[in-house]
Amino acid sequence: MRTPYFIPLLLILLVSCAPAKTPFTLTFAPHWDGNAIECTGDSTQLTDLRFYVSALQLIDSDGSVIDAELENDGEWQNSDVALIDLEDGRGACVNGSTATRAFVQATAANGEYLRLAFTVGVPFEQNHANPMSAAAPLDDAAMHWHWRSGYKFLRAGFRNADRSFWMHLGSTGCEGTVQNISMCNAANRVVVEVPLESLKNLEIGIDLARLFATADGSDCSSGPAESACAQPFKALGLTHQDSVSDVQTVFALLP
Amino acid sequence: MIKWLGAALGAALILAIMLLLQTPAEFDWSLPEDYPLPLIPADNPMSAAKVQLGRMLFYDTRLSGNETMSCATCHIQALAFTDGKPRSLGSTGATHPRGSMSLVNTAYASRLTWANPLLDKLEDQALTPLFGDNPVEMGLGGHEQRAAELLRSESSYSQLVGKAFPNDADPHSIINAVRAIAAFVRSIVSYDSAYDRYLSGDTTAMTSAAVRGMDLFFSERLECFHCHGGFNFTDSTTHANSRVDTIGFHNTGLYNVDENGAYPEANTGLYDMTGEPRDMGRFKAPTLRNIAVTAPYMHDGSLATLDAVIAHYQRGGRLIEAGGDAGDGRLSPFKSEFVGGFELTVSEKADLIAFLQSLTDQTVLTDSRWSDPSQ
Repeated sequence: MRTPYFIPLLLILLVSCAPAKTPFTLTFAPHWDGNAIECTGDSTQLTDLRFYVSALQLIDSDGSVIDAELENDGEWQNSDVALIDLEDGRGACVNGSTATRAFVQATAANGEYLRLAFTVGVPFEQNHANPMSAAAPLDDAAMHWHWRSGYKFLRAGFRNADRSFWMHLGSTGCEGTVQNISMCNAANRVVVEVPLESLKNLEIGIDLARLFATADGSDCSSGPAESACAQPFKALGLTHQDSVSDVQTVFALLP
Repeated sequence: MIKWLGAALGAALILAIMLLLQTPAEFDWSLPEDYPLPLIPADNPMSAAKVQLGRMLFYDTRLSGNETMSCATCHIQALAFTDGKPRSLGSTGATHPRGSMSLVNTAYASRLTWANPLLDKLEDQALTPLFGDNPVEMGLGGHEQRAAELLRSESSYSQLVGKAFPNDADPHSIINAVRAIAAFVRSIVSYDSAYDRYLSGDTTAMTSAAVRGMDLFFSERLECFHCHGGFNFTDSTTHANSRVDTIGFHNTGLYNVDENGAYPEANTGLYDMTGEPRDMGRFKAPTLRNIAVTAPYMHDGSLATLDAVIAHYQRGGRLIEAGGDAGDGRLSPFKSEFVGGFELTVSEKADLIAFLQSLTDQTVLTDSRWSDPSQ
């Protein structure tokens, strides 16, 4: 008896059509002491909140780290880095932009994952390339820091009746010359790792009351001389002068 | 015989045409023979069309976000392309922590701005005043499309852009606007001061007071020339024949707010870039060409006159007796070894100022090559 040749072929087709990857969405929301905030409002207002997300990873029960893939949409994310823009240019966000983007779109190999990790920052190679010829989302002039050579990984600010503050986070202490940077002594990339139950409804809260717990008055441009940077850097798990920290407390998975 | 001659003439003609097509016209710097040529980035060669385009853009207020300021707002030709303010004001009213620097001879600057070890090309530097937002200077960020459209739609620009960038398929871009502005700024060279004429043999070009002041300037007693040396009067100088990239940043004892040498937090100089404690208060020695017209002085404009600057160096560091910046700069542990202080008589001080005035170049302050093309 002859086995019909198309049966194994059909089996192969069926197997290969079954999705081996799960698409998922990671959404971000600005908070103040656990309450959502916006550029407008009566109490605490956002004045800025834009940042780059890269190195999105999932960690399974064996401790294996799986790289999630970013979908290159030609606008908000390329295959290495995504831009999150949580300010809409209204109210207190006077120097902002109307366009917003609250999520990262990614896919990951199917699996049982216990933790999710990502970096707030732009990978070294792309961080020090020519910004004038960069493609989206690295073509936003507001996110580039020309005199420090590299991108602002994070722009964040708030104001309320008591105080106000803003910070721009990026690499400092870089060596070489613009577009020929060899290394940066203070990379200042923030690593976030959160526990995970499933890849559904993933929402990360960014608590500016933690980021700016005591920050007031003068601002922080990531400079080593800026004493006002010490507290927010500590909240981001970054070292600033004598203040050493390695665990961030600003980004948390919302229940 | 005739055949051979014809072939040879034909070959010569073809060769001549090929040479004409391949060799871009040398840019005419109009420099004196003994002046070095500047170093030009390979990806932005100089041309008359590009410099003319850059000149128009340099003076065009439409390159700022709210269309109120141009590059020339903070870089005024009559003031050797500075603005006369202690610290500059941006288009939205923000105050810059530092003062506008002279653009004269930036073609020879090995590093740009007051204290940035990373910036070595005008094409990269120009992005900060155009797009920077802490503080906002020209505030062009978010208006890139409008600026590109200006190059494309306005006839005075669109034709010149094609001539300036003949090999680009789509030359009407912001990056080309930046390249043209950089080429224009690079073309601003100073070589026609009384001092230059004196050096080239005209012994009447400088007054006897200025000559005495020159001897003081170049003396080991005053030590000015260690940081302000060479044809461009700064140790951060490079040119086409340079064998080494010389870069100098110096702490002159202008501040000492904590008795450990600290500068005010907003202006720590090189330290802000590197985070190295030894870099506290280190700034680039600016060129002294046209220094008499670029008051007020120092990175933050905190010394109003040349007289005050010389008094600062004479004392070997500034004493601020009261206020938030109080402290004795002379005692700073970070101070340059060349700022040790010196004795100087009143008449010697006058001679030194006469010498500094002899570095003023009326050509660069008035020549139409660098003036507002709409005037």
